[in-house]
Amino acid sequence: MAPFDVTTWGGWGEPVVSIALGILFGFVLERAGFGSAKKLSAQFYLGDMSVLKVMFTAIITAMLLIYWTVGFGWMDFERLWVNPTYLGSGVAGGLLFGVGFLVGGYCPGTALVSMATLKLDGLFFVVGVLGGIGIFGFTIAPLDNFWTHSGAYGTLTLFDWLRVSPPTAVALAVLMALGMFAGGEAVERWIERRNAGEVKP
Amino acid sequence: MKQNEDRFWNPYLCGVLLGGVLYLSFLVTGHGLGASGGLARGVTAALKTVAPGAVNSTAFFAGLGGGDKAVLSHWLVWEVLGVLVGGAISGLLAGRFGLGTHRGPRLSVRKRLLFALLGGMLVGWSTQLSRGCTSGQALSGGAILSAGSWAFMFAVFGGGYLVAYPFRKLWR
Amino acid sequence: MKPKVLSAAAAAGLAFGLVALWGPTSGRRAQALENQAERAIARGDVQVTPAELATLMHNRQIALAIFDLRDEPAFNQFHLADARRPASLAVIRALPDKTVKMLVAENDAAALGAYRELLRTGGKQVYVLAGGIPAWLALFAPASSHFALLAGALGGRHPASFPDIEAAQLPKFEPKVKLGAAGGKKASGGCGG
Repeated sequence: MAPFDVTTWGGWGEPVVSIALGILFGFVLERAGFGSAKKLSAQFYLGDMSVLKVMFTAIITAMLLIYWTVGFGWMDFERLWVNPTYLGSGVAGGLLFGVGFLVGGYCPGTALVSMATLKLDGLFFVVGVLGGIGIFGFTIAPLDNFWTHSGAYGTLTLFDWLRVSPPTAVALAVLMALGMFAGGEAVERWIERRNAGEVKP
Repeated sequence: MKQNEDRFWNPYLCGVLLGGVLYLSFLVTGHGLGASGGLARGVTAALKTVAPGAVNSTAFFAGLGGGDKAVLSHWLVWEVLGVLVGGAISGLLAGRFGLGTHRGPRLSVRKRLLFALLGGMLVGWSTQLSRGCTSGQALSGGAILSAGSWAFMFAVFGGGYLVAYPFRKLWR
Repeated sequence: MKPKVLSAAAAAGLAFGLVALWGPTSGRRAQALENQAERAIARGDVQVTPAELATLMHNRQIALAIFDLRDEPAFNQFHLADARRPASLAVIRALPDKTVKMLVAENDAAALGAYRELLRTGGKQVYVLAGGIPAWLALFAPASSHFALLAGALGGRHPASFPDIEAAQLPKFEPKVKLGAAGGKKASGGCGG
Protein backbone atom coordinates (compact mmCIF):
# COMPACT_ATOMS: atom_id res chain seq x y z
CA MET A 1 0.00 0.00 0.00
CA ALA A 2 1.22 3.48 -0.76
CA PRO A 3 3.15 5.41 0.32
CA PHE A 4 6.07 3.27 -0.61
CA ASP A 5 9.31 3.41 1.29
CA VAL A 6 11.91 4.42 -1.26
CA THR A 7 14.66 3.96 1.26
CA THR A 8 14.18 0.25 0.75
CA TRP A 9 14.76 0.40 -3.01
CA GLY A 10 18.46 -0.20 -2.76
CA GLY A 11 20.95 2.51 -1.86
CA TRP A 12 20.21 4.42 -5.04
CA GLY A 13 16.42 4.36 -4.72
CA GLU A 14 15.89 7.49 -2.73
CA PRO A 15 18.46 9.67 -4.53
CA VAL A 16 17.16 8.73 -7.96
CA VAL A 17 13.54 9.31 -7.03
CA SER A 18 14.33 12.59 -5.31
CA ILE A 19 16.35 13.90 -8.23
CA ALA A 20 13.65 12.85 -10.67
CA LEU A 21 10.95 14.62 -8.66
CA GLY A 22 13.19 17.66 -8.41
CA ILE A 23 13.68 17.72 -12.17
CA LEU A 24 9.95 17.62 -12.79
CA PHE A 25 9.41 20.28 -10.13
CA GLY A 26 12.03 22.63 -11.56
CA PHE A 27 10.82 22.06 -15.10
CA VAL A 28 7.22 22.96 -14.35
CA LEU A 29 8.23 26.02 -12.33
CA GLU A 30 10.28 27.29 -15.23
CA ARG A 31 7.50 26.54 -17.72
CA ALA A 32 5.17 28.69 -15.67
CA GLY A 33 7.63 31.53 -15.99
CA PHE A 34 8.56 31.43 -12.34
CA GLY A 35 12.25 31.67 -13.13
CA SER A 36 11.54 35.37 -13.53
CA ALA A 37 11.24 37.67 -10.53
CA LYS A 38 9.23 40.07 -12.66
CA LYS A 39 6.51 37.51 -13.22
CA LEU A 40 6.50 36.42 -9.58
CA SER A 41 6.35 39.91 -8.14
CA ALA A 42 3.54 40.86 -10.51
CA GLN A 43 1.27 38.83 -8.24
CA PHE A 44 1.63 41.48 -5.59
CA TYR A 45 0.71 44.28 -7.97
CA LEU A 46 -2.47 42.48 -8.94
CA GLY A 47 -1.92 42.44 -12.68
CA ASP A 48 -0.76 38.85 -12.92
CA MET A 49 -2.23 36.28 -10.60
CA SER A 50 -0.16 33.38 -11.86
CA VAL A 51 1.42 32.66 -8.50
CA LEU A 52 -2.00 32.31 -6.93
CA LYS A 53 -3.27 30.19 -9.80
CA VAL A 54 -0.31 27.84 -9.95
CA MET A 55 0.00 27.40 -6.19
CA PHE A 56 -3.61 26.77 -5.40
CA THR A 57 -4.25 24.65 -8.47
CA ALA A 58 -1.27 22.52 -7.46
CA ILE A 59 -2.52 22.26 -3.92
CA ILE A 60 -6.06 21.22 -4.77
CA THR A 61 -4.89 18.86 -7.51
CA ALA A 62 -2.53 17.06 -5.15
CA MET A 63 -5.11 17.20 -2.38
CA LEU A 64 -7.85 15.62 -4.47
CA LEU A 65 -5.48 12.94 -5.75
CA ILE A 66 -4.20 12.18 -2.25
CA TYR A 67 -7.56 12.00 -0.57
CA TRP A 68 -9.22 10.01 -3.36
CA THR A 69 -6.38 7.51 -3.15
CA VAL A 70 -6.66 7.36 0.61
CA GLY A 71 -10.43 7.10 0.29
CA PHE A 72 -10.13 4.01 -1.88
CA GLY A 73 -7.85 2.50 0.71
CA TRP A 74 -4.82 2.46 -1.61
CA MET A 75 -2.73 4.81 0.48
CA ASP A 76 -2.21 4.83 4.25
CA PHE A 77 -2.83 8.36 5.47
CA GLU A 78 -1.15 7.68 8.77
CA ARG A 79 2.15 7.17 6.99
CA LEU A 80 2.02 10.45 5.10
CA TRP A 81 4.05 13.35 6.38
CA VAL A 82 1.88 16.10 7.82
CA ASN A 83 3.87 19.22 8.67
CA PRO A 84 3.51 19.86 12.41
CA THR A 85 1.69 23.05 13.23
CA TYR A 86 3.63 25.84 14.90
CA LEU A 87 1.32 28.81 14.67
CA GLY A 88 3.62 31.39 16.26
CA SER A 89 6.78 30.76 14.28
CA GLY A 90 4.81 29.74 11.20
CA VAL A 91 2.87 32.97 10.92
CA ALA A 92 5.80 35.16 11.93
CA GLY A 93 8.05 33.35 9.51
CA GLY A 94 5.42 33.57 6.81
CA LEU A 95 5.05 37.32 7.13
CA LEU A 96 8.81 37.84 7.01
CA PHE A 97 9.01 35.43 4.10
CA GLY A 98 6.39 37.42 2.24
CA VAL A 99 8.38 40.61 2.74
CA GLY A 100 11.58 38.94 1.58
CA PHE A 101 9.72 37.49 -1.40
CA LEU A 102 8.58 40.94 -2.46
CA VAL A 103 11.95 42.57 -1.89
CA GLY A 104 14.03 39.82 -3.45
CA GLY A 105 11.60 38.66 -6.06
CA TYR A 106 11.80 34.93 -5.43
CA CYS A 107 11.17 32.08 -3.08
CA PRO A 108 13.89 29.44 -2.63
CA GLY A 109 12.53 27.05 -5.25
CA THR A 110 11.97 29.66 -7.94
CA ALA A 111 15.32 31.27 -7.22
CA LEU A 112 16.99 27.95 -7.89
CA VAL A 113 15.20 27.80 -11.23
CA SER A 114 16.24 31.34 -12.03
CA MET A 115 19.81 30.54 -11.11
CA ALA A 116 19.67 27.43 -13.27
CA THR A 117 18.82 29.57 -16.28
CA LEU A 118 21.86 31.71 -15.52
CA LYS A 119 20.06 34.73 -14.13
CA LEU A 120 22.27 36.78 -11.84
CA ASP A 121 19.45 37.97 -9.61
CA GLY A 122 18.50 34.37 -9.00
CA LEU A 123 22.05 33.57 -8.06
CA PHE A 124 22.29 36.53 -5.68
CA PHE A 125 18.99 35.57 -4.11
CA VAL A 126 20.15 31.99 -3.50
CA VAL A 127 23.38 33.28 -1.98
CA GLY A 128 21.26 35.50 0.22
CA VAL A 129 19.13 32.54 1.28
CA LEU A 130 22.20 30.55 2.22
CA GLY A 131 23.49 33.51 4.21
CA GLY A 132 20.15 34.01 5.92
CA ILE A 133 20.01 30.36 6.92
CA GLY A 134 23.52 30.58 8.30
CA ILE A 135 22.61 33.64 10.32
CA PHE A 136 19.53 31.90 11.61
CA GLY A 137 21.56 29.08 13.06
CA PHE A 138 23.59 31.53 15.09
CA THR A 139 20.77 33.86 16.13
CA ILE A 140 17.87 31.58 16.95
CA ALA A 141 19.03 30.63 20.44
CA PRO A 142 17.40 33.56 22.31
CA LEU A 143 14.18 32.99 20.34
CA ASP A 144 14.19 29.27 20.89
CA ASN A 145 11.26 29.29 23.26
CA PHE A 146 9.08 31.11 20.75
CA TRP A 147 10.31 28.96 17.89
CA THR A 148 9.67 25.68 19.67
CA HIS A 149 6.58 26.33 21.72
CA SER A 150 4.52 29.20 20.42
CA GLY A 151 1.31 27.75 19.04
CA ALA A 152 2.88 24.30 18.85
CA TYR A 153 0.01 21.92 18.21
CA GLY A 154 1.90 19.01 16.77
CA THR A 155 0.23 17.26 13.90
CA LEU A 156 -2.96 19.20 13.30
CA THR A 157 -4.95 18.96 10.11
CA LEU A 158 -7.67 21.37 9.08
CA PHE A 159 -10.27 18.65 9.44
CA ASP A 160 -9.19 17.74 12.95
CA TRP A 161 -9.14 21.41 13.89
CA LEU A 162 -12.55 22.15 12.39
CA ARG A 163 -13.91 18.82 13.64
CA VAL A 164 -15.17 17.85 10.21
CA SER A 165 -14.48 14.85 8.03
CA PRO A 166 -11.43 14.98 5.74
CA PRO A 167 -13.44 15.23 2.50
CA THR A 168 -15.44 18.12 3.92
CA ALA A 169 -12.20 20.01 4.52
CA VAL A 170 -11.08 19.10 0.99
CA ALA A 171 -14.34 20.38 -0.46
CA LEU A 172 -14.04 23.63 1.49
CA ALA A 173 -10.47 24.09 0.27
CA VAL A 174 -11.47 23.40 -3.32
CA LEU A 175 -14.37 25.82 -3.17
CA MET A 176 -12.15 28.47 -1.62
CA ALA A 177 -9.54 27.98 -4.33
CA LEU A 178 -12.14 28.22 -7.10
CA GLY A 179 -13.47 31.37 -5.49
CA MET A 180 -9.98 32.85 -5.39
CA PHE A 181 -9.43 32.01 -9.04
CA ALA A 182 -12.63 33.74 -10.03
CA GLY A 183 -11.80 36.71 -7.83
CA GLY A 184 -8.23 36.80 -9.06
CA GLU A 185 -9.28 36.87 -12.68
CA ALA A 186 -11.73 39.63 -11.98
CA VAL A 187 -8.93 41.67 -10.44
CA GLU A 188 -6.67 40.94 -13.40
CA ARG A 189 -9.33 42.16 -15.81
CA TRP A 190 -9.91 45.27 -13.73
CA ILE A 191 -6.22 46.12 -13.71
CA GLU A 192 -6.05 45.51 -17.45
CA ARG A 193 -8.94 47.86 -18.08
CA ARG A 194 -7.39 50.46 -15.82
CA ASN A 195 -4.05 50.24 -17.59
CA ALA A 196 -5.71 50.41 -21.00
CA GLY A 197 -7.52 53.54 -19.91
CA GLU A 198 -4.26 55.31 -19.07
CA VAL A 199 -3.33 57.93 -21.57
CA LYS A 200 0.14 57.20 -22.80
CA PRO A 201 2.29 60.12 -23.96
CA MET B 1 17.67 39.00 -22.61
CA LYS B 2 15.24 36.81 -24.46
CA GLN B 3 12.32 35.78 -22.35
CA ASN B 4 9.85 34.26 -24.79
CA GLU B 5 7.10 35.19 -22.40
CA ASP B 6 4.48 34.15 -24.87
CA ARG B 7 5.79 30.64 -24.40
CA PHE B 8 4.92 30.44 -20.74
CA TRP B 9 2.43 27.66 -20.21
CA ASN B 10 -1.02 28.37 -18.85
CA PRO B 11 -0.78 28.78 -15.06
CA TYR B 12 -3.68 26.45 -14.34
CA LEU B 13 -2.07 23.79 -16.49
CA CYS B 14 1.20 24.28 -14.67
CA GLY B 15 -0.68 24.03 -11.42
CA VAL B 16 -2.21 20.70 -12.40
CA LEU B 17 1.18 19.38 -13.49
CA LEU B 18 2.82 20.62 -10.31
CA GLY B 19 0.05 19.06 -8.29
CA GLY B 20 0.68 15.82 -10.11
CA VAL B 21 4.37 15.93 -9.21
CA LEU B 22 3.49 16.75 -5.64
CA TYR B 23 1.09 13.81 -5.51
CA LEU B 24 3.71 11.53 -7.03
CA SER B 25 6.07 12.56 -4.30
CA PHE B 26 3.59 11.66 -1.56
CA LEU B 27 2.72 8.42 -3.30
CA VAL B 28 6.26 7.22 -3.69
CA THR B 29 7.97 8.68 -0.65
CA GLY B 30 5.27 9.58 1.85
CA HIS B 31 6.33 13.21 1.92
CA GLY B 32 5.96 16.22 -0.35
CA LEU B 33 8.50 18.49 -2.01
CA GLY B 34 10.83 21.04 -0.47
CA ALA B 35 13.61 23.49 -1.17
CA SER B 36 14.80 25.49 1.81
CA GLY B 37 15.65 22.33 3.75
CA GLY B 38 18.05 21.27 1.05
CA LEU B 39 19.72 24.67 1.15
CA ALA B 40 19.95 24.51 4.93
CA ARG B 41 21.84 21.27 4.61
CA GLY B 42 24.10 22.84 2.07
CA VAL B 43 24.94 25.62 4.50
CA THR B 44 25.55 23.13 7.28
CA ALA B 45 27.81 21.03 5.09
CA ALA B 46 29.84 24.06 4.07
CA LEU B 47 30.16 25.21 7.67
CA LYS B 48 31.18 21.75 8.68
CA THR B 49 34.19 21.81 6.42
CA VAL B 50 35.47 25.15 7.65
CA ALA B 51 34.27 25.22 11.24
CA PRO B 52 33.15 21.80 12.46
CA GLY B 53 33.36 22.97 16.02
CA ALA B 54 30.79 25.65 15.40
CA VAL B 55 28.46 23.13 13.78
CA ASN B 56 28.70 20.72 16.67
CA SER B 57 28.19 23.39 19.29
CA THR B 58 25.29 25.19 17.65
CA ALA B 59 22.07 23.30 18.16
CA PHE B 60 20.49 24.22 14.84
CA PHE B 61 23.39 23.01 12.71
CA ALA B 62 24.20 20.11 14.99
CA GLY B 63 20.71 18.77 14.46
CA LEU B 64 21.24 18.74 10.73
CA GLY B 65 24.79 17.56 10.50
CA GLY B 66 26.64 17.39 13.77
CA GLY B 67 29.14 14.67 14.55
CA ASP B 68 28.89 11.71 12.23
CA LYS B 69 25.71 12.75 10.47
CA ALA B 70 25.90 12.70 6.68
CA VAL B 71 24.48 16.15 6.06
CA LEU B 72 24.08 15.95 2.32
CA SER B 73 22.79 12.41 2.17
CA HIS B 74 19.17 13.52 2.25
CA TRP B 75 16.28 13.62 -0.20
CA LEU B 76 16.00 17.40 0.04
CA VAL B 77 19.54 17.87 -1.19
CA TRP B 78 19.04 15.53 -4.14
CA GLU B 79 15.74 17.16 -4.93
CA VAL B 80 17.32 20.63 -4.98
CA LEU B 81 19.89 19.36 -7.47
CA GLY B 82 17.03 18.02 -9.55
CA VAL B 83 15.28 21.39 -9.48
CA LEU B 84 18.39 23.03 -10.91
CA VAL B 85 18.53 20.47 -13.70
CA GLY B 86 14.83 20.65 -14.47
CA GLY B 87 14.83 24.42 -14.51
CA ALA B 88 17.83 24.49 -16.81
CA ILE B 89 16.30 22.00 -19.23
CA SER B 90 13.06 23.91 -19.47
CA GLY B 91 14.92 27.18 -19.88
CA LEU B 92 17.06 25.73 -22.63
CA LEU B 93 14.09 24.32 -24.51
CA ALA B 94 12.14 27.55 -24.23
CA GLY B 95 14.97 29.86 -25.18
CA ARG B 96 15.06 31.42 -21.75
CA PHE B 97 18.52 30.17 -20.91
CA GLY B 98 21.30 32.72 -20.77
CA LEU B 99 22.93 35.38 -18.65
CA GLY B 100 20.67 38.15 -17.57
CA THR B 101 18.98 39.88 -14.68
CA HIS B 102 15.26 40.08 -14.11
CA ARG B 103 14.41 43.49 -12.74
CA GLY B 104 11.77 46.17 -12.62
CA PRO B 105 11.90 48.89 -15.27
CA ARG B 106 13.11 51.58 -12.88
CA LEU B 107 15.83 49.62 -11.13
CA SER B 108 19.47 49.35 -12.11
CA VAL B 109 21.14 45.97 -12.31
CA ARG B 110 23.33 46.81 -9.33
CA LYS B 111 20.39 47.79 -7.13
CA ARG B 112 18.45 44.74 -8.24
CA LEU B 113 21.25 42.40 -7.27
CA LEU B 114 21.55 44.09 -3.89
CA PHE B 115 17.86 43.70 -3.19
CA ALA B 116 17.94 40.13 -4.43
CA LEU B 117 20.65 39.44 -1.90
CA LEU B 118 18.86 41.20 0.95
CA GLY B 119 15.50 39.67 0.10
CA GLY B 120 17.16 36.30 -0.10
CA MET B 121 18.67 36.72 3.33
CA LEU B 122 15.33 37.59 4.85
CA VAL B 123 13.68 34.68 3.07
CA GLY B 124 16.45 32.32 4.14
CA TRP B 125 16.18 33.35 7.76
CA SER B 126 12.40 33.16 7.83
CA THR B 127 12.18 29.74 6.16
CA GLN B 128 13.98 28.22 9.09
CA LEU B 129 11.68 30.01 11.50
CA SER B 130 8.63 28.67 9.72
CA ARG B 131 10.23 25.29 9.10
CA GLY B 132 9.82 25.40 5.37
CA CYS B 133 9.13 27.59 2.37
CA THR B 134 6.42 27.81 -0.25
CA SER B 135 7.40 24.37 -1.54
CA GLY B 136 7.69 22.49 1.71
CA GLN B 137 5.04 24.28 3.72
CA ALA B 138 2.57 25.95 1.38
CA LEU B 139 2.45 23.37 -1.41
CA SER B 140 3.16 20.15 0.46
CA GLY B 141 1.66 21.05 3.80
CA GLY B 142 -1.23 22.74 2.05
CA ALA B 143 -2.06 19.68 0.00
CA ILE B 144 -2.08 17.42 3.04
CA LEU B 145 -4.24 19.99 4.90
CA SER B 146 -1.81 20.84 7.70
CA ALA B 147 -3.30 23.77 9.60
CA GLY B 148 0.07 25.39 10.24
CA SER B 149 0.95 25.25 6.57
CA TRP B 150 -2.22 27.04 5.54
CA ALA B 151 -1.55 29.68 8.17
CA PHE B 152 1.97 30.10 6.82
CA MET B 153 0.69 30.40 3.27
CA PHE B 154 -1.76 33.19 4.08
CA ALA B 155 0.93 34.95 6.10
CA VAL B 156 3.22 34.89 3.07
CA PHE B 157 0.64 36.53 0.85
CA GLY B 158 -0.12 38.96 3.65
CA GLY B 159 3.50 39.92 4.09
CA GLY B 160 4.02 40.40 0.38
CA TYR B 161 0.95 42.57 -0.15
CA LEU B 162 1.78 44.58 2.94
CA VAL B 163 5.07 45.84 1.51
CA ALA B 164 4.18 45.84 -2.19
CA TYR B 165 3.24 49.49 -2.33
CA PRO B 166 6.17 50.82 -0.26
CA PHE B 167 8.60 48.87 -2.43
CA ARG B 168 6.88 49.51 -5.74
CA LYS B 169 9.96 51.15 -7.22
CA LEU B 170 11.55 47.73 -7.33
CA TRP B 171 9.06 46.37 -9.80
CA ARG B 172 7.05 49.11 -11.50
CA MET C 1 -18.51 25.65 -22.43
CA LYS C 2 -15.25 27.40 -21.67
CA PRO C 3 -12.50 25.02 -20.58
CA LYS C 4 -11.95 26.99 -17.37
CA VAL C 5 -15.56 26.63 -16.31
CA LEU C 6 -15.45 22.96 -17.24
CA SER C 7 -12.33 22.31 -15.17
CA ALA C 8 -13.71 24.24 -12.24
CA ALA C 9 -16.87 22.17 -12.40
CA ALA C 10 -14.77 19.02 -12.59
CA ALA C 11 -12.75 20.04 -9.54
CA ALA C 12 -15.88 20.84 -7.56
CA GLY C 13 -17.40 17.59 -8.74
CA LEU C 14 -14.39 15.61 -7.58
CA ALA C 15 -14.51 17.35 -4.22
CA PHE C 16 -18.19 16.63 -3.66
CA GLY C 17 -17.76 13.15 -5.03
CA LEU C 18 -15.15 12.55 -2.38
CA VAL C 19 -17.55 13.68 0.31
CA ALA C 20 -20.18 11.30 -1.01
CA LEU C 21 -17.80 8.36 -1.29
CA TRP C 22 -16.28 8.90 2.11
CA GLY C 23 -19.46 8.76 4.14
CA PRO C 24 -21.16 11.62 5.93
CA THR C 25 -20.33 11.23 9.58
CA SER C 26 -17.44 8.98 10.52
CA GLY C 27 -15.09 8.77 7.58
CA ARG C 28 -12.55 6.14 6.75
CA ARG C 29 -9.86 7.80 8.75
CA ALA C 30 -11.89 8.14 11.88
CA GLN C 31 -12.80 4.50 11.45
CA ALA C 32 -9.19 3.50 10.93
CA LEU C 33 -8.10 5.46 13.98
CA GLU C 34 -10.88 3.92 16.03
CA ASN C 35 -9.77 0.44 14.97
CA GLN C 36 -6.21 1.35 15.77
CA ALA C 37 -7.25 2.52 19.21
CA GLU C 38 -9.18 -0.65 19.91
CA ARG C 39 -6.33 -2.84 18.77
CA ALA C 40 -3.92 -0.97 21.00
CA ILE C 41 -6.25 -1.37 23.96
CA ALA C 42 -6.70 -5.07 23.24
CA ARG C 43 -2.95 -5.58 23.04
CA GLY C 44 -2.49 -3.79 26.33
CA ASP C 45 -0.21 -1.19 24.77
CA VAL C 46 -2.11 1.69 26.28
CA GLN C 47 -2.38 0.70 29.92
CA VAL C 48 0.58 1.91 31.94
CA THR C 49 1.20 0.45 35.38
CA PRO C 50 1.70 2.72 38.40
CA ALA C 51 5.30 1.55 38.60
CA GLU C 52 6.04 2.68 35.07
CA LEU C 53 4.30 6.02 35.52
CA ALA C 54 6.25 6.68 38.71
CA THR C 55 9.46 5.98 36.80
CA LEU C 56 8.39 8.33 34.01
CA MET C 57 7.64 11.07 36.51
CA HIS C 58 11.23 10.90 37.67
CA ASN C 59 12.56 11.08 34.12
CA ARG C 60 13.48 14.67 33.42
CA GLN C 61 14.24 14.02 29.77
CA ILE C 62 10.70 13.48 28.62
CA ALA C 63 7.74 15.81 28.34
CA LEU C 64 5.04 14.24 30.47
CA ALA C 65 1.56 15.67 31.02
CA ILE C 66 -0.71 13.97 33.54
CA PHE C 67 -4.43 14.64 33.28
CA ASP C 68 -6.77 13.69 36.08
CA LEU C 69 -10.28 13.05 34.76
CA ARG C 70 -12.01 12.72 38.11
CA ASP C 71 -14.22 15.38 39.69
CA GLU C 72 -12.88 18.27 41.70
CA PRO C 73 -13.44 16.96 45.23
CA ALA C 74 -11.62 13.73 44.41
CA PHE C 75 -8.85 15.71 42.80
CA ASN C 76 -8.45 17.95 45.81
CA GLN C 77 -8.35 14.99 48.12
CA PHE C 78 -5.42 13.44 46.31
CA HIS C 79 -3.81 13.69 42.94
CA LEU C 80 -0.49 12.89 41.35
CA ALA C 81 2.17 15.55 41.41
CA ASP C 82 1.78 18.02 38.53
CA ALA C 83 -1.47 16.40 37.44
CA ARG C 84 -4.08 18.73 35.96
CA ARG C 85 -7.82 18.60 35.53
CA PRO C 86 -8.40 19.40 31.87
CA ALA C 87 -11.18 21.86 31.04
CA SER C 88 -11.88 19.70 28.00
CA LEU C 89 -10.25 16.99 25.91
CA ALA C 90 -9.28 19.67 23.43
CA VAL C 91 -6.71 20.91 25.94
CA ILE C 92 -5.08 17.50 25.92
CA ARG C 93 -5.35 17.20 22.15
CA ALA C 94 -3.63 20.55 21.68
CA LEU C 95 -0.37 19.42 23.23
CA PRO C 96 2.52 18.56 20.92
CA ASP C 97 2.71 15.04 19.48
CA LYS C 98 5.80 14.09 21.41
CA THR C 99 4.42 14.93 24.84
CA VAL C 100 3.44 11.80 26.72
CA LYS C 101 -0.17 12.32 27.77
CA MET C 102 -1.21 10.22 30.75
CA LEU C 103 -4.91 9.88 31.52
CA VAL C 104 -5.73 9.12 35.13
CA ALA C 105 -9.24 8.31 36.32
CA GLU C 106 -11.05 6.32 38.97
CA ASN C 107 -10.96 3.21 36.79
CA ASP C 108 -9.82 1.97 33.38
CA ALA C 109 -13.16 2.37 31.67
CA ALA C 110 -13.38 6.10 32.28
CA ALA C 111 -9.80 6.75 31.16
CA LEU C 112 -10.13 4.54 28.08
CA GLY C 113 -13.21 6.43 26.98
CA ALA C 114 -11.20 9.61 26.86
CA TYR C 115 -8.35 7.73 25.18
CA ARG C 116 -10.62 6.60 22.36
CA GLU C 117 -11.96 10.11 21.84
CA LEU C 118 -8.47 11.60 21.72
CA LEU C 119 -7.24 9.04 19.25
CA ARG C 120 -10.25 9.51 17.03
CA THR C 121 -9.16 13.09 16.45
CA GLY C 122 -5.57 12.21 15.77
CA GLY C 123 -4.03 12.43 19.23
CA LYS C 124 -0.62 10.86 19.71
CA GLN C 125 1.29 9.41 22.65
CA VAL C 126 -1.79 8.98 24.82
CA TYR C 127 -1.81 6.42 27.62
CA VAL C 128 -3.95 5.54 30.63
CA LEU C 129 -2.96 4.63 34.15
CA ALA C 130 -4.00 1.01 34.57
CA GLY C 131 -6.25 0.66 37.55
CA GLY C 132 -6.51 4.40 38.01
CA ILE C 133 -5.99 6.14 41.31
CA PRO C 134 -6.95 3.09 43.41
CA ALA C 135 -4.14 1.06 41.84
CA TRP C 136 -1.70 3.91 42.41
CA LEU C 137 -2.61 4.25 46.05
CA ALA C 138 -2.47 0.49 46.54
CA LEU C 139 1.15 0.56 45.47
CA PHE C 140 2.41 3.81 46.92
CA ALA C 141 0.28 4.69 49.90
CA PRO C 142 0.52 2.35 52.85
CA ALA C 143 -2.85 1.26 54.15
CA SER C 144 -2.38 3.22 57.31
CA SER C 145 -2.41 6.49 55.46
CA HIS C 146 -5.67 5.83 53.63
CA PHE C 147 -7.71 7.21 56.49
CA ALA C 148 -5.65 10.38 56.52
CA LEU C 149 -6.06 10.56 52.80
CA LEU C 150 -9.82 10.43 52.94
CA ALA C 151 -10.02 12.84 55.84
CA GLY C 152 -7.83 15.52 54.44
CA ALA C 153 -7.46 17.27 51.12
CA LEU C 154 -3.79 17.02 50.45
CA GLY C 155 -4.17 17.20 46.70
CA GLY C 156 -0.74 16.87 45.22
CA ARG C 157 1.15 17.21 48.47
CA HIS C 158 0.70 13.66 49.69
CA PRO C 159 3.86 11.58 49.76
CA ALA C 160 2.22 9.25 47.25
CA SER C 161 1.77 12.12 44.81
CA PHE C 162 5.42 11.89 43.92
CA PRO C 163 6.69 8.60 45.31
CA ASP C 164 10.35 7.90 45.87
CA ILE C 165 10.88 5.09 43.40
CA GLU C 166 13.98 3.74 45.07
CA ALA C 167 12.41 3.31 48.44
CA ALA C 168 9.21 1.92 46.98
CA GLN C 169 10.92 -1.17 45.55
CA LEU C 170 8.86 -1.14 42.42
CA PRO C 171 7.50 -4.31 40.93
CA LYS C 172 8.90 -5.08 37.50
CA PHE C 173 6.93 -3.69 34.63
CA GLU C 174 6.87 -3.99 30.90
CA PRO C 175 7.35 -0.47 29.54
CA LYS C 176 4.45 0.65 27.38
CA VAL C 177 5.31 4.26 26.67
CA LYS C 178 7.23 4.59 23.44
CA LEU C 179 9.92 7.21 23.68
CA GLY C 180 11.96 8.50 20.78
CA ALA C 181 10.67 8.43 17.20
CA ALA C 182 7.06 7.38 16.93
CA GLY C 183 6.82 4.17 14.93
CA GLY C 184 5.27 4.06 11.51
CA LYS C 185 4.91 7.74 10.86
CA LYS C 186 7.80 9.42 9.10
CA ALA C 187 10.16 10.93 11.62
CA SER C 188 10.76 13.88 9.37
CA GLY C 189 9.64 14.77 5.93
CA GLY C 190 9.65 18.48 5.58
CA CYS C 191 12.05 21.29 5.00
CA GLY C 192 12.23 22.00 8.68
CA GLY C 193 12.10 18.44 9.96
